[in-house]
Amino acid sequence: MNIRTWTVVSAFVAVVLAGAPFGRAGGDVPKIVIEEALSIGTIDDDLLYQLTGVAVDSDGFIYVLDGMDYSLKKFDAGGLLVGKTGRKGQGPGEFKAPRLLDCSGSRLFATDQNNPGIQVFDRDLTFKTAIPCRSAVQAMRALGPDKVAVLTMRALGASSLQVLNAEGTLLSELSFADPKAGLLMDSASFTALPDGSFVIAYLFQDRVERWTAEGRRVWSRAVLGPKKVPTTKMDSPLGSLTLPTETCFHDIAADSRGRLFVLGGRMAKNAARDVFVLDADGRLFTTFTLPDTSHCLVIDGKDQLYVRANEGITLKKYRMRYE
Amino acid sequence: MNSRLVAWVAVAAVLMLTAVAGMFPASPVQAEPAPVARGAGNACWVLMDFDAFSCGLCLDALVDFCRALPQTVQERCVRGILACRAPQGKEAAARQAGIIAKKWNGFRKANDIRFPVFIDAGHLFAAGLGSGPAVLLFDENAGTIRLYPLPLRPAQLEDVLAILRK
Repeated sequence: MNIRTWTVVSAFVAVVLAGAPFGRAGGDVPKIVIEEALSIGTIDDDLLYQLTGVAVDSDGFIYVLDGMDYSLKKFDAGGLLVGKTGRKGQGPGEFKAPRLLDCSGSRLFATDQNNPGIQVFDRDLTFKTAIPCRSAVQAMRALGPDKVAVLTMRALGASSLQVLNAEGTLLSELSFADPKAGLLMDSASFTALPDGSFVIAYLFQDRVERWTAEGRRVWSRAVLGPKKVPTTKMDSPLGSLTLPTETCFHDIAADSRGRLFVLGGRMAKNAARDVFVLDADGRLFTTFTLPDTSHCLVIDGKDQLYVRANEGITLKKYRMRYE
Repeated sequence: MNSRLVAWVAVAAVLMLTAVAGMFPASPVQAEPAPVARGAGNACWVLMDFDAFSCGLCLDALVDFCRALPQTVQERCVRGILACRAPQGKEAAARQAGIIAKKWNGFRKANDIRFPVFIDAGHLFAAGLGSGPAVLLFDENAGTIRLYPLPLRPAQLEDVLAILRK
């Protein structure tokens, strides 16, 4: 066999192997079609100024944190504003830079970029308590009405995923990050699965990983392909720092089938619009593209998708249909 | 001063010179020093980057500055400029202007900000994007413009307030 034949055969094998992890031939790749079911907020109304966090309860009520008017808003399933609380401040029920929101049972959990800890509200938006947290929270999931998982942010040293009770007591800690990876490289979002495991999507690395609650990595996948995250050098009192400048993944959520929906960042082909759907083993199931850019992605109990639109003045709800 | 701040000052200087030129229509050349701007009063422009709407610290710095200004000063001699990137197409430009106006409206109401704000629809200030909020202080007596990145140090705030109260 001559070199040319070897090259052709090698290329063919490479193509077959490259497709193998997805387990599908080109013709039967499943497709997800999204259909708009609800839109909240337009340029002309006063409903949303800057959506930062979204959560949906088991009755279909939608809760939104608004970063421009420091509020927590409640909408019914039809998009009618039925409650609002919060104002600027650092006291109970107040916000300076509201960011993350999640719901479990009768409780809502809200974080603030500039106030440490987690504020807990009931579904009538009444402030109930605050869960103390030593470090700033960069990602959060409610695991129950009195238990929350947080991914903390640390200036020095690796981040970790901590499970806290309502008093802020550390119940368990998952050290997932590589301390040698570099500054900010362990920034991530995550979702919690019913079996207690976590799936982590890195902000500045093309990696999605599933970890058991006991700290064992089940799998690790690259999704975006052979792209290197660009970096920049910055002088600081600590010396020259290398910082990533483009994001890989913005958010991750799981549907009722255990499929993982990972929202691509600026490194994706369609920045902040491409959604990569992985199965529970991390194999790419399919992809689809949102009509508008989003920084967050939430899936409710009916597998409806909630994302941001119009730079945060609109919340969109989509039905997802498999074809 | 970094290059973006220099760009802010350069743009402001061009606008100021344009305004000064407008105040002094062409006349025969005289052998006297050219006067600096008079009559417009001391003023302050608050320059805000629309991208900084997602920066909590930038917004905090802006609110802290606004709270330090008496309401009468805000209304009389402070103007805000919201700079933004040029979108592609007329439709996108109209959409962007609507979104910026709405966001500012929510922010203004929540923080009781009284001074009027103008959206930089011509993208004159695009060169300064990314440098965070800043204040351009027009001092009529000194005939100078000074740029102060927010947040202000206490001494800087005193300087600004002293000039705006004149």
